[in-house]
Formats: sequence, C-alpha cells, structure tokens
Amino acid sequence: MLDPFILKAILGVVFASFSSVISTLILLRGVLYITPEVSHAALGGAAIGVLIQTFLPWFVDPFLFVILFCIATSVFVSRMGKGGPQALGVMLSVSLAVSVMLYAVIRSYLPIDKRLAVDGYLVSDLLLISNSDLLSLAIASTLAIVVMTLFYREFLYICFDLETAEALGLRVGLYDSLLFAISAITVAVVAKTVGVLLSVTLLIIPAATSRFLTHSIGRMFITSFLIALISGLGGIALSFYLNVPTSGAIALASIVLFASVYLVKNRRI
Amino acid sequence: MKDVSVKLGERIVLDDVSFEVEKPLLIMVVGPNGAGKTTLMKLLLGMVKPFKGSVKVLGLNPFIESLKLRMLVGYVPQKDRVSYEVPLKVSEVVLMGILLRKRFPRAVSREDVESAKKALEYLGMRDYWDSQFNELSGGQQRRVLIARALASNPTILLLDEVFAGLDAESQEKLLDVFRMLKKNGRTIVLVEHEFDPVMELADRVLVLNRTVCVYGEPSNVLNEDVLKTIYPCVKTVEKEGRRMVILGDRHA
Repeated sequence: MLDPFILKAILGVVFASFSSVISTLILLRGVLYITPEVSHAALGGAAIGVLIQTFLPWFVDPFLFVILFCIATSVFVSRMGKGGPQALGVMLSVSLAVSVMLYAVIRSYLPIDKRLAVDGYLVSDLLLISNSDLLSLAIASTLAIVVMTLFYREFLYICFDLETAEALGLRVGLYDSLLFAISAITVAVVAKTVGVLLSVTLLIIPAATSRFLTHSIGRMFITSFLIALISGLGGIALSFYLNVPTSGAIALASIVLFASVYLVKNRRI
Repeated sequence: MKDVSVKLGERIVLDDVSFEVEKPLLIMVVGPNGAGKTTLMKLLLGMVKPFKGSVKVLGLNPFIESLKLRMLVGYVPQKDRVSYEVPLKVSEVVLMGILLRKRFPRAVSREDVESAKKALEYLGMRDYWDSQFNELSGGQQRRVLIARALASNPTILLLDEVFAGLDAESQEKLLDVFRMLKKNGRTIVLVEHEFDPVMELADRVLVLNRTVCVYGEPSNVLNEDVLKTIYPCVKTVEKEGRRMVILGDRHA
C-alpha cells in the first residue's frame, strides 16, 4: 500500500503532466516565451489570494487568484508580444518585479502558517499537497484539457496559419485569447505542484523534448505528457530515496531526459 | 471598389483606390514593397476596413456580409504567413479550407474528404495525402495551399505572392495550375511583386503604389512610360516574341 503522501504527490504529478500537452500547443503557436512571465504572476496571485483568505476565512481557495493572475498576465503578455522582443523583455521584468513586491510586502503582514502557504508557491513540496489542493488541481487541469479538446481544430489552425483562419471567418482574437487563458491555467497548476521557480522546466522541457522525438502532432502531445509524467514520477522516487527536495528532483529528471534525447538525436545525425 | 482609402495606424496605405472587374478574369496586382498589395487583398476579404469609399465583392459588402462572402472566396497567403513548425499532414491542411467554413464542431464528413482529395488531384498532389506538409518542396507546398483554397469550390481565388521564391520548374508547374483554373472560368486575383512569370496569363494588370497607378489589359499597362512613374529604372524588352519587364537590376 502506497503512503498517502506519495499517492497524493503522484496524483499531483499526473495533473501537472496534462499541462505539458497544452504547452506543446503553445510551442506550436510559437509563444512558449510567455511561460516565464505567466509563472511569475502566479506568485503575486498567490500572495493576494492568501492575504484575502487570512482576513476573510470563508473566501474560496487562493488558487483561484493564482489562476486569475496567470490568465490576466498571459492575455496581456500575448498582446504585448506583438511589440517584439524588447517589449517582452520589459514584460518579463515587470511581471517579476510586481510579483516579488506583492510577495514580499504581503508576506510581512501574514501569520506564520499563511506565510508557509505563500512560500509553497515559490518552491512547492509535492509531498505536502493536501486533498483540497488536489481537488483544485484536478478541476483546473480538467477544465484546460476539456477546452483544448473542444477547440482543438481552432487552436491548431491558429498555430498553422492565423491569417487564412481569419480570412475564412474564424474569430482568431477570441480563440487566441482562449488558448492563452488555458495555458495560463496550466501554468498555475504546475506552479502549485512544483513551485514558481521550477515550473518553467516542467512546462517547457517536455514540449521541447517531444519535438525532437516525433513529427506527428498527436504523438507530440502523448510524448510530452509521458515525458512530464516520467520526470514527475522519477523526481518523486529520487526525492524519496535520496532525501532531496521533490520539486528540484522533478526539474532535474526532466532536464536529464531532455539532455539524453538531445544527445542521442544529435549522435544519429 | 470605389474611392477606397485605408489607414493602418496613422499611415495611409491605400489612397483613393478604384477599379472594377466585370467577368471572370485573372487579375494580376503588381507593385513595389509597401505598395498596399496585401492590404488590398485583406480589404477584399473584409479583414481591414476603409475609412473612405465603398467595396463590393460578388455584389456583397465584405464588412457587413463577411460570412457570406467568405464562403465564396478562396485565399492563399504569402509563404511566410504559414508556420512550418506545425507538423500537419497534407490532408489536414487541405481539410482546413473546408472545415473553417463549417460550424462548430467542424466534424469531417465523407464528402469533405472527397472534396479535399479532388482538390489535391486537380493540382497533381493526390499521392501526397498522407505526407507531412512541412517536408514538401516550396512548389509542392504552394500547390497544397492552393488545393486548400479550392477544396470548398470558391467563386473567387485570392493569392498573395504564390510565385515568390520558387525555382523555374515549380513556377512552370504552378502556371499550368493557373491555366487550368482560367479554363474553368474562375476569377483569380493574384498579387505579385514581379511581373513575370504570371504576366502572360493575366487578363488585367493593376499596378498599385498606394493608389491605382494603372489598370487595364497587359498590352496597355506594360508601357515603359507608364511603368517609369513607379519603377524609375524600368525597361521593357522583347525576347523570343515575349515581352519582359526589367525593374532596375531585377528581371521581372
């Protein structure tokens, strides 16, 4: 029988792994660069969410605020992205500065237990994930995957040829914003699972690795999911047996997988 | 199109553009970089709105009856507008032209597959149904994109610089496609940066440089005096019974 902490950690990893499927779509859209900006926003959202919950205990899960912050940042950055790399560089600094300020200022007003809740978003410990956390992750992941499945064709057409999609009457602005919104939800899920600092590895690396391995879209989705899952499970195992932080072990496992695939592929060439 | 002017931001990109097409023809739109050729195309599709003038395509106002119009129009974008990073199969690319015109959930029917295969067959690309689009040559990719535009049997075909960057063999194959399309009596609006190689097929040439510099039959338009107003170094040369236009140091 598995330890309940390990079981919850495994479930957390499964939910986080679904995020890599949507990251693959974001990679194909050519906007994977928004991921770091959006993940920073998760920290600011968590700080505000926990603050509200501290003073209004009946307030729903602070994770809702994390998602809202991520969605707002994602849609905003996607608009700014049209301003080119300089605008994106500025946005990266802005999102980090605002989030760090919110985190530092709000944290100082919080009681100790609430400080730990906010710190959990910086570097999360999967082994301490609660049942209510798992429920939030399950709802958010399911929502993102359902939206992606429903509008898969629309998202794919935007990724492939936005101009023709618009010319033939697709509301590209609406679907593009929807794509950025679900990608933001997945960033929030991963930030909750492994923490903001390491979320980028689980969002970018599986998608990037899948590209090396296959040229079929369907297989890219499956491969990136499996790479995220293997990284997550491998990370939990490493953490359990070597007594190292789970998030760091997951990130390392994904980096090792990427490096192995890269080396093998280049050796073949 | 009558007295149409379009602004992008504060810049006027089309100014008092007027022209009319009465019957199915191949119209070639030519002009230097930044002349507003692509904007003209987007105007016909209702994707940009003019601040002055009126536009009618097939008797429809593209800004009010855009959905109706888009069912009748096939569009092929410039090559750099397509993402070759997305690993789609040729079949998926061609079906896109049909499914985008359908309502959600855009389910693929047997008829859709037949239409897509027919369009590919028409362009000599039927054997590539299961091939990866981004692994084809530039000329083959252009033919697949034209098949996508043709799959829904449009009345008008709008093509943006489809000859750009193609080698002579691919250009010749594409010219054959246009010969076939002309025979079928479709109206084709073809935007190109250069006059060659489409010039010989064009029924009308519209030289655009933010406004219509000249519009008419190729024999009237391909006149050095007229073209010098847009391309100061232009020269027209007769070679083997064919008139060529040399724009500065580039052959067109």
